[in-house]
Amino acid sequence: MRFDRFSRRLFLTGAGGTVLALPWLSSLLPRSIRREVGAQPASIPKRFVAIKTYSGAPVLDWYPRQAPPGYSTHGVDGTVVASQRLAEPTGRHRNGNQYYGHSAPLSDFAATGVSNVFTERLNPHLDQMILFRGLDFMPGINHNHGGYLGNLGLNTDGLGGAVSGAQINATIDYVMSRSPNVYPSAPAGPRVFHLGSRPNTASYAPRDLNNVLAVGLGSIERAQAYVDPRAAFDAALSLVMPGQMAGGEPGVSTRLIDRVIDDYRAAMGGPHLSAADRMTLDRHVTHLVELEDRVNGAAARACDASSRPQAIDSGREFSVDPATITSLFDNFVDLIALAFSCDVTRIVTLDVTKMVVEDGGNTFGLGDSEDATSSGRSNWHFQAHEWDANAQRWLGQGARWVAERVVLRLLDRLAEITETDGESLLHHSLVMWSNELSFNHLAYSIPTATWGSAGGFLRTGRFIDYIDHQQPIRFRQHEGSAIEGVQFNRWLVTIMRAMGLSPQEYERERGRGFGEYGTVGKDDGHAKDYDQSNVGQVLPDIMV
Amino acid sequence: MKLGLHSVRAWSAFSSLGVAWLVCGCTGSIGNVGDQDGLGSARDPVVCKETPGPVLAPLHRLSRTEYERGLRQLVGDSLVDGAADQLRTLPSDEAEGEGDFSRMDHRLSSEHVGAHYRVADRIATQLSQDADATVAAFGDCARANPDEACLRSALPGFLRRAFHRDPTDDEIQNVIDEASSFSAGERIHAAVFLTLMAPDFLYRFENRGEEVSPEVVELTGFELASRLAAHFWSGPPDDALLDAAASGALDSEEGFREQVDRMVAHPRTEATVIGFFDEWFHLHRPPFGTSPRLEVLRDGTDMTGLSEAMRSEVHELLRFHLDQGDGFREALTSRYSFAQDPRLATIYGVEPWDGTSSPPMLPEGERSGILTRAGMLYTEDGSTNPFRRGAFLRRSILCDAVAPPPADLPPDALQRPPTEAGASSRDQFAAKIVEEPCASCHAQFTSLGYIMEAYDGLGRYRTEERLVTVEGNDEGTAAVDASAVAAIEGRDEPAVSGPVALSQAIADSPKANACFASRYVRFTYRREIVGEDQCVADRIARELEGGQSMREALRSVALDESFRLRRLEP
Repeated sequence: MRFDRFSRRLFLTGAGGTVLALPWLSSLLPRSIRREVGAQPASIPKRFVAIKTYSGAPVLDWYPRQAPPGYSTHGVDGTVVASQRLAEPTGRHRNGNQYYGHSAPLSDFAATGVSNVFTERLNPHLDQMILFRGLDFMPGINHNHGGYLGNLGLNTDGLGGAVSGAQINATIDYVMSRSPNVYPSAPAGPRVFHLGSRPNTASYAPRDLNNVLAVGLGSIERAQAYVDPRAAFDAALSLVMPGQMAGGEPGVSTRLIDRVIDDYRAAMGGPHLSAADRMTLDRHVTHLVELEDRVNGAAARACDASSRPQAIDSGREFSVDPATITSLFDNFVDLIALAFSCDVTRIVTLDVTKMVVEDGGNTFGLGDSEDATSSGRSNWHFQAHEWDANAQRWLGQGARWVAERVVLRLLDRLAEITETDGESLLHHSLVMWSNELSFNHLAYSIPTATWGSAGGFLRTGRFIDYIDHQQPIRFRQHEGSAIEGVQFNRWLVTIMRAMGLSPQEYERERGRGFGEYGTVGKDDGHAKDYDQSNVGQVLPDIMV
Repeated sequence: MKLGLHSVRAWSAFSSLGVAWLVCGCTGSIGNVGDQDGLGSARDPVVCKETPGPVLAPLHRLSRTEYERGLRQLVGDSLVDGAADQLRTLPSDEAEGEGDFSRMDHRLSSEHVGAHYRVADRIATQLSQDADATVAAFGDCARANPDEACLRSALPGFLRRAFHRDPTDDEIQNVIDEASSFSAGERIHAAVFLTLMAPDFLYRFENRGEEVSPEVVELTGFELASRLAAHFWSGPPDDALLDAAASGALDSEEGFREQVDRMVAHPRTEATVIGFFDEWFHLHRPPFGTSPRLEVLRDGTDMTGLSEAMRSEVHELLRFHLDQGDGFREALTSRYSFAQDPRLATIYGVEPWDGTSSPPMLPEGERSGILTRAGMLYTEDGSTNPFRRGAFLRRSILCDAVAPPPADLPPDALQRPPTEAGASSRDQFAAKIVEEPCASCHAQFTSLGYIMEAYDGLGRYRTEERLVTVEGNDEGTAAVDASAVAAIEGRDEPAVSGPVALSQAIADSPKANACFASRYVRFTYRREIVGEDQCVADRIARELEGGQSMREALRSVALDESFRLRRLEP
């Protein structure tokens, strides 16, 4: 006897016995209950792009070295400091003293460019930019994958993995991707679109998509990026290409997804499966339901995505042909703009593990590896350790290449697209470029810059320095100084609020923001006098 | 006759035994990693029975390789090649941590499911529009009228090839029912799509067998066939294996061994085994690059393709000793050269090997065994790093736990020492770790790296180190001191002089065979081996110590009774 689709589903969820004896499995719930309700779609969607570069950030090259009016030079540190105190305090130190960050307009650099990395070529977007200084990771983490997106409790495997005593959690891109404020309905492409020059990303997905705030190593898994622009294009845009799903009758395969889902639900009821096995199948069901929503949603979203890129095999970590690297990231950037304009995704991560150095007429590539067992000029991580004059120059030039070739191209593309309110897509976006670590593998003042205001949420065009320069310098390395700034967690909160999330969507504990905020693993030689009472708040003086 | 299971039931009494893997940290009593020497085992002792029990085996998503091979076996190369774009959207399987293998990647993301959909849709479209492919998959009737009768006659065979077992009547009926709701021209598409998206195509289920205890299931013949094929071939079972499962031959000891022997002799098994060593030994490293230092060190040698030739030589060494029926110990001390590239042969000081005749012997005293091969030693810019070499030997070849560096390293701790006139790399690196907290942590592995300083970053043997800075400045030479206390078993050992003696000492240590065994069991079961699962590795290590060949050891994993059982996580 054959069940029709509807009754078969009811049978599986209500058959009692075997099925009801299973652990709670969210995908068995009717879809109407699974869907979050009440969120109204924003009239113009906000987009988020997270660009990440890796260890060996040339801190001095990131920040201004010449002090125009409105800035001063730090007496010890020697770096340029913004002079205008922020209206809102960062917090109070343990001694009760309030402390503040400082800011100054980036337009002061209109004639020169902001820094060696952010040259005058990026000036057309100065009004959309915020350059941050003093965003500190709280735990004492070293090499890590997910810190810049909020998984602050996990070193790389080679450094022992979990930071003892620190919370491990999924990253904010996944938290945002499940919010109805970001996606009122299923997108036709991936909820988080991962691109990069190596497969393993710096994002961690929750194993249970219906519990994005679960913590612990077993609750997350590392997301993977598309490393070939053509594959990425096919994955994100194939459903909305003319002649595909869009505008036509659903094809045979589309009409069968529902049936496939039932097969997985039936398999979950099979004998001799462990709870972990059933959870695996449950996750498969969740992804299939999501796929079905994507496919069905795509029918109304035709988009002229005719510029399908060529396949590019950029090789493993240390294949660093400059022309290939350049082509790879050019294609990725164009793909991001296309995916946004077709609205097939709203959250993108771009892992930049390869860059191009142009040094005195000599052009070569640098690659970064998770398994840096080799050495040489083309090894980004190796050079970060060499830190001789060549290494410093090359890393600075490489970062400049990322700014001028990758970031600038993206900003130009997003600025060219006009939304219905007359503002650019860049205005409605939040593009972040941040890093794995700061100077010499330290978790202080993670070099971070943004463009776009997330639809008018952020007050842009500013250099904001949250370092409390009244505090003593704890120690210096690679010409960087360890002094208290502000918790990176507050930047994470700011991002999520800017994207429209409410605290209930990202907080495990009311008022405590997101991610590990304890100075776990830092001894008294480190800067760790932060005001933790406001760790759940947005950054001071950041909003319009 | 079914295999005896009394030992399995007895084993379950031990299921409550646990193992706490040591979490190492270079804090406090730095250096006390694993045991009092800081060099010892990475686990607490486990009480093992003579016959190890079954190993935990979670539901297994097909790896990318297995998935593609399964597709090719089911629908043929041309249709799979026609879905190359769609297949490219499937995430690759990646090894994440030290000691992991890419086949241990069990991640499941929307990218996986989306790619499965695209591939299934593409192949279903192609097959249903290709009359020859349709007939090949579903028989002549499918060309004219794939009605219910046609599907009923074709689906048992098609689903058997897809699921690697005989489908149930319900499974056949469900596909017929679903396909019949489509027009005649769409039914084949529907049947193919449903098959390629089915749980039994994308996962390897091992849950249909007889329960021998609340947590242990005996694999059915078909499940055993799939496990064998996944293990030895990283692919689906072939017809002979499925036939053996269907006939019950695989249930008998004789029939099972016959299939294992056939598979072990198959070329695909050799490829899988070489892939195992490739990942274990980190042979996939970046090739020689372009740098001022290498420009000086290479002495005019054309480096194009040389790193690949070095890697191939390691593969040939492994093949040779596998074919010879040698143990891992022989591979660790082999003095044969398999260098076919004249440049590599020159580095070794031998004539190139012709690939068929008896391989030449390496000069005495310079090299011995796989650890001394250029493919294991070269670096991208020709420099050496005794810390990394030592940590690799300690961690990957001896399977000792090595504590990671602390997060709060002193300033510039990880900065490589500069190359300076008059000071060898060993001297320069040693000077960095005189003080705590570096000294006691580095005592775990650094001496092994010092001994390997007898080779430069091109894999050349040396008694004098040529000092070349990163800028390519030649700073003269320094004598190489390749003597140190290797501390393989403990720190009270006498000093070892040179890498030949080190290789022999490692080969003589039971740690080498134990490490080989534990890595291979991890490779087999695709997960970290913990608790009593380690008993399987211990048994293999014992037999290797007793003179068993590598090939026999690899075979014995499958012959172990535990291979035919599955233990469920509670």
